[in-house]
Amino acid sequence: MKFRLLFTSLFVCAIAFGQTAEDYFKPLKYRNIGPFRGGRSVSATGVEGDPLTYYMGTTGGGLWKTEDAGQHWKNISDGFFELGSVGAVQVSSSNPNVVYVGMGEHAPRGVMTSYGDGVYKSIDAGKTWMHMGLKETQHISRIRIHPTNPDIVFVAAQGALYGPNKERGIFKSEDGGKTWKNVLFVNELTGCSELSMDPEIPETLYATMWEHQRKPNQVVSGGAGSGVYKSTDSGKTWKKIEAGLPAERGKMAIAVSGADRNKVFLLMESDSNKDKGGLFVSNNGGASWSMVSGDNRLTQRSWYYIEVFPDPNNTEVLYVLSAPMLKSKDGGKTWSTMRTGHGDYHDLWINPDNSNNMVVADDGGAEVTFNGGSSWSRLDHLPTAQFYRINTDNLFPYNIYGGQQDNSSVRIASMSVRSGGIQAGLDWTVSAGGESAFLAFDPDNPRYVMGGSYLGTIEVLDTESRLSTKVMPAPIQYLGRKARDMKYLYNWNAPIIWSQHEPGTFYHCAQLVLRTRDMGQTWEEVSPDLTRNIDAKQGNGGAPYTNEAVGAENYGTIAYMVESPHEKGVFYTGSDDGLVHVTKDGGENWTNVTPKGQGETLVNAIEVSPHDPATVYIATTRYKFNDYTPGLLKSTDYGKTWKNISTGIPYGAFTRVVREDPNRKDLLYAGTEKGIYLSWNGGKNWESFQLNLPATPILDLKVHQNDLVVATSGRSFWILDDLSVLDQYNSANKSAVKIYQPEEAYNGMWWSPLNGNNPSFKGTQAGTGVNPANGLVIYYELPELASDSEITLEILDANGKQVNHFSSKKDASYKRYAGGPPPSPTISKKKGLNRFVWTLGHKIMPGVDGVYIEAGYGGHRAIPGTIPCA
Amino acid sequence: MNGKTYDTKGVIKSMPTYPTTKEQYMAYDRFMTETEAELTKMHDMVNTLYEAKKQVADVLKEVKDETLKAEGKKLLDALDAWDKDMVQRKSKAYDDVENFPNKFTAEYLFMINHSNSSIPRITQPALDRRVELDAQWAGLKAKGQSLLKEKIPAYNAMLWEKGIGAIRK
Repeated sequence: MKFRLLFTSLFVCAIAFGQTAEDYFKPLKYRNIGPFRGGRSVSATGVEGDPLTYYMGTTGGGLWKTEDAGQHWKNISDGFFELGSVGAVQVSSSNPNVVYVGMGEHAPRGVMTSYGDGVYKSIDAGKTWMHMGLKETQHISRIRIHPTNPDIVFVAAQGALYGPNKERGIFKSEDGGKTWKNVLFVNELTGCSELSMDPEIPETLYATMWEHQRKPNQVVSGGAGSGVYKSTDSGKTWKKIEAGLPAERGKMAIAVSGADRNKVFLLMESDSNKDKGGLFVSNNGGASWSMVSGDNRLTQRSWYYIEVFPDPNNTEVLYVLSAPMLKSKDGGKTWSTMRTGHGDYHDLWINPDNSNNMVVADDGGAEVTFNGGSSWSRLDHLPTAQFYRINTDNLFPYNIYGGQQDNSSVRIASMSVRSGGIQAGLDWTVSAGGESAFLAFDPDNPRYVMGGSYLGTIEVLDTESRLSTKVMPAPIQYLGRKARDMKYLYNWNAPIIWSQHEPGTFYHCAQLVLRTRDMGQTWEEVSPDLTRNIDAKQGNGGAPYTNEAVGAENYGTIAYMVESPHEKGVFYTGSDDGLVHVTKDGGENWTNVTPKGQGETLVNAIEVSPHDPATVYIATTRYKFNDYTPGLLKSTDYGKTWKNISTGIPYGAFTRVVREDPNRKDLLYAGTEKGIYLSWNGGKNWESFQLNLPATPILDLKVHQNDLVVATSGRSFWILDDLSVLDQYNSANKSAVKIYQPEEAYNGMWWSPLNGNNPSFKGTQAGTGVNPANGLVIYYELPELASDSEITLEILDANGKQVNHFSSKKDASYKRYAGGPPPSPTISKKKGLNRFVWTLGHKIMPGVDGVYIEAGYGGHRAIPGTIPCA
Repeated sequence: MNGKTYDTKGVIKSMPTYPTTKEQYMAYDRFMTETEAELTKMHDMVNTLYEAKKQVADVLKEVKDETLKAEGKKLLDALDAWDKDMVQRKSKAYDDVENFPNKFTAEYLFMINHSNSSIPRITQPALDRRVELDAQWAGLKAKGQSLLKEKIPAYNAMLWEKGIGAIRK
């Protein structure tokens, strides 16, 4: 099919001008494909007096709102919040239009918890937002608003996770968030983990302070700074209220009963080995405490949980959130488990007018109940999943594979061939391994998928029988162990790759590389330890009071492995503690090619250039050292020498992945904590390439079949089609008019909103993933044209016969009526880049005005230009 | 700088999952192109003659001469009958198409739509049905042409003789 674009107007003086990629490529849109399977939330609230409205903060996807009790949720922070991780959300009791959000989730994990940038406020129930300071607090656990004066606000800030900082503790504003005072500060490693307000006397507050820090190899929960405090003068002064409590204080939570202002509950992590932690109660406003329950379920995995919520209408009923959601009806002595749609709970709001109505925030999203927890609203319509690593196959349509944090891994189609969207049940299914999976398979025949999860679990899934075989190189229970006592020390996301040059071979990485040539029946070690193996950092994963060993704190592990697409036997590895190695003989010999002077840093991704076997890129980050400097490096000599190529990526946008476009040398894509960046010149300079993508951390990128596949930490998967436009883009071309050659189109039957060009289309659909455009997607650049000018697009077939014809002018004679033909689309003639999708149809047939005919008037689809042999 | 043309080319590929052969695609393309063109002619003719019918009706309001009136009424009736064979104007809403009989162009469109499958194939019944409908169209087309090229010009001539304006078509 040949196209001709015929202009029939005078041009205004045409000079092509320089533009940023962000501006020029605005007509391109990333599309959200899903899956719609809720990801983590650590904060949710309802609204007093309005049982249909709830707000849900996600840990990477911003703030969401429902106005029909969870039947539908929509994002309300896109375009307002700079970052995506929400720690707290609170609505004013006296004015439900006033909402405060504290950024940075408060259940701080090591592998994918994202930092925040302070406080946002809305005065119109979430339609618009203003930033209200406290930018350096990074993680906020709670916000409390005065019940009758929404200008008096308290913020419980945990502070930076990976190191000391000043902006933490309790902040108070008396002017609606314009200015803040740090009313309680303990030390630079101590923040506030919970804040509770007396139900009758709002000047009385209770707080728990938490000394804590994450290191790459350990979560520290507890210390001298941890303490329990009370204020009776609206936060001006605080005193400790610890009589009767054990001296060892880890993470704590405190909550005064809404039904009895003298009854206060304290949930406390203490020395776990000595079994001192548990639930304490005070019946005298905190003057003294006694233990109610030492049940381990209440304090397990403390750094991640420790949440207590008394029923505001009944002194005997309370809830503790942990991996299970626990309820007591006898003041905390005995506990039963609640069933909801997901697990791992972090926040609870109970309607003060109706204790049966609650919203709980957990690792699958926010769930609403009206019957005390017998049933909950759904989570399968939320595109808020966090995905780690992308793989793709070569089936048609191609599938994307990844592990979703707190759920299973997934194989999802890049498009749905027979409908208007990518749907659960039809277009995606569960794949191998688990939540932190790397997935590996022969992309041309992905029947067998090798997938893993944390602590080195690994299995082979047979997609035909839909069942799997466990194939750990050493089936050892590593849970709870010190890192140095693990035979194989695995990263949370332990790399698993399939070899394209050695058929039937898979590699799995711990601190060294393991290889199987018989689908996991046998394994051999094919490398020495390729990490710094710092023994001092391989003790317990948690301290001082509670160990933590599910594998996220393993340090001295290989974080990434890649095989050269050019040469058999060439592999690179990157470790989580800063080392880079290469082998050129399939693992017989390994060379340390760590960049000179590179200390401990997470080497998160490695990319061998598709254009040059000697060129290799690494994406590194020291975020686990409280350093958010972007760290991309490039070598053109197999890693002998390196150059830092991060100019243009700002501090805070730390780098997890870099990829090179296979069709255009030196066109690079970078995935960072603050979005996507692009370089035209091999990394010398970078610029933002976010387009319509919402603010969410990028965990992985992959270029596949001219698409950019994006794994986010809180908005599921996205795809940018049409990379061929970037491949053809030439900023040096100064001619005023440019037509880009469209990518090849399939004569398929799916529908997509991307068939049109609505500039306000956000790239999302409610409930289903977005298909790519169906048709030939034509991009063309124009200079400024007179408003009465007309441009036309003629489509001719190979014989020069006209197949269809489009214009920038609307057809004045067209009349719409029921049962008649649709209008023919017009083409845009804006200054700059324009986009038009010819959906492959011949001309629309005319109707007869007013005559309803049940029929399709569209012309038939043009037949393929190249057809495969039958 | 007027009328400048810029070219590019595009390629359409067959869905890899379709079994359709080159010959089948070409048969489909030919069938559809031809029948879509016929349907277009049909609706163009309906629209043209409907306009003409409106004008005849308007003119008849003014005409006093009995012969002219009678001739005009005959023409009007002929136009109306032809129109009613071609389309069903009582159908204006979704389920009306169940309540009122569907006329010729609706039948033709159904046949066209039937052959427009996701995986295209022109079946024998489709070919047979087309032959059937094309035969009917031949007759209707001839009638329409006759109205257009003979009966209306003839009436115009009559009107002209009596000094009244023509029916424009």
